[in-house]
Amino acid sequence: MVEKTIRKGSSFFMEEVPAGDVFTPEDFSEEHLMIIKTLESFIKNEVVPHIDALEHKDWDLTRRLMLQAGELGFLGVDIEEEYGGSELDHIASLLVCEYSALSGSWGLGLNDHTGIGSMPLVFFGNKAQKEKYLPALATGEKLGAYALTEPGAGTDAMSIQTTAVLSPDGKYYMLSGTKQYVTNGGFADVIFTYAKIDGDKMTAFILERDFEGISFGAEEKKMGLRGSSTCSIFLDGAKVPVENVLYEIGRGHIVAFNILNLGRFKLGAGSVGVAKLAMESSVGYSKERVQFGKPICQFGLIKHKIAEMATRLYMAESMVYRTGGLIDNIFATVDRTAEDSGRQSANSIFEYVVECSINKVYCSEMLDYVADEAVQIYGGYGYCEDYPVERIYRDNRIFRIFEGTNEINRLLIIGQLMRKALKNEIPLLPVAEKVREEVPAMEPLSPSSGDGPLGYQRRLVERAKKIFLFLCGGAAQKYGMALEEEQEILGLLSDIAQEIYAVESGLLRALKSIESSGEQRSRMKIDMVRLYSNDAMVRIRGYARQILAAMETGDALDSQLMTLRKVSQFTPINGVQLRRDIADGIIEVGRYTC
Amino acid sequence: MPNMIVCVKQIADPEAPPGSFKVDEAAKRAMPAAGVSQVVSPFDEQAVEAALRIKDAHGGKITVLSLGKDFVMDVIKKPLSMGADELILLQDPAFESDDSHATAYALAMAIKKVGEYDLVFCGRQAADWDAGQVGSGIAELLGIPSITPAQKVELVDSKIKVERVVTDGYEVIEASPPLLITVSNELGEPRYPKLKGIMAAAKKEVPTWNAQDIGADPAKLGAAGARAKVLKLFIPVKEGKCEIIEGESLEEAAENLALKLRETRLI
Repeated sequence: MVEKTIRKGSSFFMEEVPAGDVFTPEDFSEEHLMIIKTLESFIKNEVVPHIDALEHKDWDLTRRLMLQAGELGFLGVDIEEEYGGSELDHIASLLVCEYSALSGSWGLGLNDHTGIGSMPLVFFGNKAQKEKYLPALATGEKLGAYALTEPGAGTDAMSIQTTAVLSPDGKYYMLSGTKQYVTNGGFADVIFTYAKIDGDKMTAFILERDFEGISFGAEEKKMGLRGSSTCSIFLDGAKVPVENVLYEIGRGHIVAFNILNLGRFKLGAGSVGVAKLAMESSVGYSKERVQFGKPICQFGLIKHKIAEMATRLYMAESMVYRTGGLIDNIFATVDRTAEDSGRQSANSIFEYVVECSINKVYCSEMLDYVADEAVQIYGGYGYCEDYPVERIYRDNRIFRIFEGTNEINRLLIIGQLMRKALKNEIPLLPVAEKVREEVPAMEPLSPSSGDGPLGYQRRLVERAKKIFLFLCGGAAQKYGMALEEEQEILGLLSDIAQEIYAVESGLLRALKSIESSGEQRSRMKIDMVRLYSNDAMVRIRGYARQILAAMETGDALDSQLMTLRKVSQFTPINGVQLRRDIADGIIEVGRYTC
Repeated sequence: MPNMIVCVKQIADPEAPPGSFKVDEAAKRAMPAAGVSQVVSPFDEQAVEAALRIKDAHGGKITVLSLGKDFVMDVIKKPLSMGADELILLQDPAFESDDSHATAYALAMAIKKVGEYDLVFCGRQAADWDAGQVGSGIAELLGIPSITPAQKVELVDSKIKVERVVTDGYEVIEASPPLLITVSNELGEPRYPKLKGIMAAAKKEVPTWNAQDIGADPAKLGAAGARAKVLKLFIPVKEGKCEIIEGESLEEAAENLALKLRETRLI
């Protein structure tokens, strides 16, 4: 067996990553590929034909289909075998997210149930709690939900107002407060929630639907995902047995943040699934729709859209499964027999907190772009309910909001990176300091630099990392601890961080593919990386100029802009031709391919 | 408990758009289509399902045989993930042929090598060539009776009860094993593999047998053993023309339509 390299979270900013170290979709095992095929046919044959009924909130049907998925084992992928699950790797778990998302609302309900609606127990439950609840959650007999948000506490999750008071006999906590936007809330049997004991000890609790003192609000009238249940939960002195405290009193935030972190990572996979569906639908339409005597897919501006959609999707897919591979490798080091193996697992995912947030933001915004252009390709028809892209367009809007808004995640990307740096977990600050010294002397990249296929693109990624570190070092120097108040700077830095992770993931995947299958068979990947790295460098340079202009003035600004110009100078590629080539490949097969 | 053998074929997905298929008219061969995935022929999946239903009710062992080349393991292992016990691949350049008789001969020899069996299942036809000859051919070569095509198969008191599909319904036939049955789509949808089944199938080692392993006579295999000759292979050109049949009244339009249909010898 090949020894897997454990890479420290966020270390990719500071070092060159060998292509052989990353997991890519081309590395899917037989097991993974069989899971894909089964899920595809289950969703296509059992769920999609009922989408209309599901969109009209037929909860009985939702539950029946969930039970069917449970019987096939797809609800227990992350659950330990002794509690009825199959404890597969995270790649399998991501595949369940990606492919169930093809069914829209129902898939969201499934992912909510298997993710934040079950994982608090898997990671933080004790043996008795796991024995009591997990087997039924694995089969789908009971469905899970997660209730954190309150009317006054959304992004600021620690400010929840719900209280928990111990009953005089010491047997119950009495929970009072309101939770809102609870996915699966209309029918979930097991609900994970949070309340404060003694006013400040945020604590996680396991609720059952029929506990005394719990009631449920009306279904929210949402813009999209209308076939998923979303409602409020009212806790009016709800009686929760003391044994239903999850993890430790006052440590609820540990549960909350770890679970959200996992949710973010999985949301990336869901976004990839929906984007593939949007592409298949709109590319298919573009081949049939004839205007000016030819199918519209033959027009340059439609090809531009198709190529751009596919290229961004390729980068997103590459980063999602790369992150899955990172997490699987570190999971392999967790002693699964240890009593606290769940917490250890959560901790190991937290190692990649920056990558998880990047996945969430990048993939949801990729989907936003793809869904929008899919509607545009459909023209007026795309605005009508009769076509799937209309639903996809509405459904996807929430992806940028839930599991932590993209704004809070942008702050987290740099915030967590700086936290790791200040705790000396990663050598970001010394490396950044060194980069600040060497960058002024760097010359523009010559067109011939870099060996072998994509050698030039590899050098471009290196340069992008240097620019990022140069800016991080500068920002840390200028603002110190007050950097966290400079949200706009943090946002721009995080945009650069995302571009780096995206393009590097696509690049490493292409290089690995060239290594195993040769250049000819990797043509599409190579083209996509050439196109994207070119455009990403343009964007990175733009973000960097904005950051410098906000941080410096006068001569210092001029000199830093001059440095940036030299470091970020590169030879542009013929993006028009590359996009045409990429689009032609996609149009031929009628769906996303790479 | 019955010993069952199921023959399955890996083919290009017949659900793929017709435009994605191409033929090499000179070589009289179908060309591998770009972007079209491979699947187990759907009728063969129903044959697996028929065997699994008997196994569910009575136990037994299911061995799956597949003759072909370029096997995609996550595709051809599907019967294992559905619940079959063994899978054996028959792969040898000597086997290569689209001829039904040569294929039936190789499969019959492999079945003899497997040993004891009570039931052999095949799909009613492979969904690529749609010849529907291999099942009956195997039975003939093994010297056992065959029932084609079945919509239901049950084991009742050591007899096999089969509902055989006929034009206007079905007939019920009772037979004793050993017996070969080809299975039709009327049987119903094959089951989805369960995750546990997928995990077990992925771990399963799959042996490959060549012509020598099954003791086959080279003269009866591949092109040498072919009994049919392909004269021409082409993709038919479909022409879609629309003609509006006029008439002063509905009745007259209908009459004109009937006349037109007779004129073109459609009625």
